[in-house]
Amino acid sequence: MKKSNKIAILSEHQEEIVEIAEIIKSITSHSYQIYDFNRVDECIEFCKNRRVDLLLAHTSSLDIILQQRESLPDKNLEFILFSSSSKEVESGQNIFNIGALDLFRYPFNRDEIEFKLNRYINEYKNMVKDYNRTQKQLDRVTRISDRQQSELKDLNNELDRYKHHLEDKVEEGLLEIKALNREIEDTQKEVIFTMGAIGESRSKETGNHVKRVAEYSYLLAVKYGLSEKEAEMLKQASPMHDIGKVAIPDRILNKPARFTEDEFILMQRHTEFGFEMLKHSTRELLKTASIVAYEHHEKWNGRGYPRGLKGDEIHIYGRITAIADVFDALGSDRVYKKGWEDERIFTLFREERGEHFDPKLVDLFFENLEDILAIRDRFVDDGTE
Amino acid sequence: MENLNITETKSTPKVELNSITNKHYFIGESYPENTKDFYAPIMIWLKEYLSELPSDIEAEFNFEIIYFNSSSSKALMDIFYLIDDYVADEEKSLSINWLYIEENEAAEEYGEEFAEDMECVPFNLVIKEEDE
Repeated sequence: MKKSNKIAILSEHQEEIVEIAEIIKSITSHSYQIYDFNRVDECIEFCKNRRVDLLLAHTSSLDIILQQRESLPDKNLEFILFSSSSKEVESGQNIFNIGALDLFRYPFNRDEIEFKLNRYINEYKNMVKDYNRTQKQLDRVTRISDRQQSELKDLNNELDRYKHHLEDKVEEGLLEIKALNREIEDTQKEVIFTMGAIGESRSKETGNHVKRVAEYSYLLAVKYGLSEKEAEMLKQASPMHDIGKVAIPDRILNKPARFTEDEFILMQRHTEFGFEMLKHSTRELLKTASIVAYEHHEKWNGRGYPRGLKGDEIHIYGRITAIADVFDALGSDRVYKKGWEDERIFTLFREERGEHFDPKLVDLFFENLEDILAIRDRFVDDGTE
Repeated sequence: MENLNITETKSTPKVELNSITNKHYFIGESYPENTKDFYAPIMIWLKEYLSELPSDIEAEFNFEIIYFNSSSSKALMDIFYLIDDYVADEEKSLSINWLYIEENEAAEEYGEEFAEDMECVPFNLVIKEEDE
């Protein structure tokens, strides 16, 4: 069953109410429920508490209706005015400007009232329906939007957490990689140093000999103009210059007397043995070591061994290690000899400039003598090594 | 009248409106760049279809919208209200099915809210098997 439309009728004159009510009751196409009021305050009070679809009011109540409409729950309550006589129509007042839907003039026309009421009620109902639907849509859309926004916020937060987690993990991983790299580098250095030390210990050289040769080589390499990377490489490789001595029998290596010619030839071959041991590696460091082992007994004038290379034919690594090794060997005590005095060594170096040694390196040696002697002091043989 | 078929895209649902079987489907996600443009031809089709549909023919509208943005929710409600009006005013035999998988709590809540707004048309919440 369809809901009936509620119409309030307001007039001081009961006979007007009765007349209009009779007309409305006779309308069959719509169902109307009528509430009638003689007093405007009662009518307003009623409209405040009940839903009313339309208000029909006498023109004499217009002012108070306009005043009170704002206080009603339905601020847009539609109203139609009616006048009890043609004289009562306000002179010059346009009823549509003040919000009334229409004006029913006296004498009332039944057909006009029926037609207009039905139309207004339909329009009004549709309007209300649309309004309510729009309100609901707005409400739903807002809630959906809110919900999606909060979901988005949650996702963003989660993403942030992941991002931080990931950053921490990457940081952790990098630190681990760095630590591992250091470990590898340290191990490599230690292995190489130990290899060098094996050669030295078998020939009863002191442990610090290789350290000093390494430091002298580094210093001379830098002063010569090699890159920091190359100088560092040479420093790490130079301890292996005598690694080939592991292939020389102890009885010859540590012979307290002079070598026979055959022994001397074999002894010289430690350069080739060292080269053979190291040359197969593709590692930069071991390649460097193989050059040092092979060429550290070559002489600038071409009278060295094993190949008798001359001048620039000798790799700079070989030339540098030669001067570093000889300087340290001459100055150190051995089982079979005392270490030379510095002045004697320096005299020899001056004599061997351009003979045994690269002249430029001899010059650099003297130019940096202070630093070289500082290295010797730092790694002095105190018998504990 | 001709059927209306719209292929699913990343941001628009598959739409199958069929005036022969009278079973209609909206399946997928709905967040079109221009929601009005997407739903306007659908509304036109539905209005024509519903006005021509005899009252004794049953028609079923199936919605399986996994995700929709807020302007799509307004467009969907426009469709629901349209269907509801045809049931209310002309007593047509229409029904709406709102399909969702059980885990999708949001879809269930949205369905419940839409159902509340319907005055005449049956608005059924249907749990869908996930592996269907």
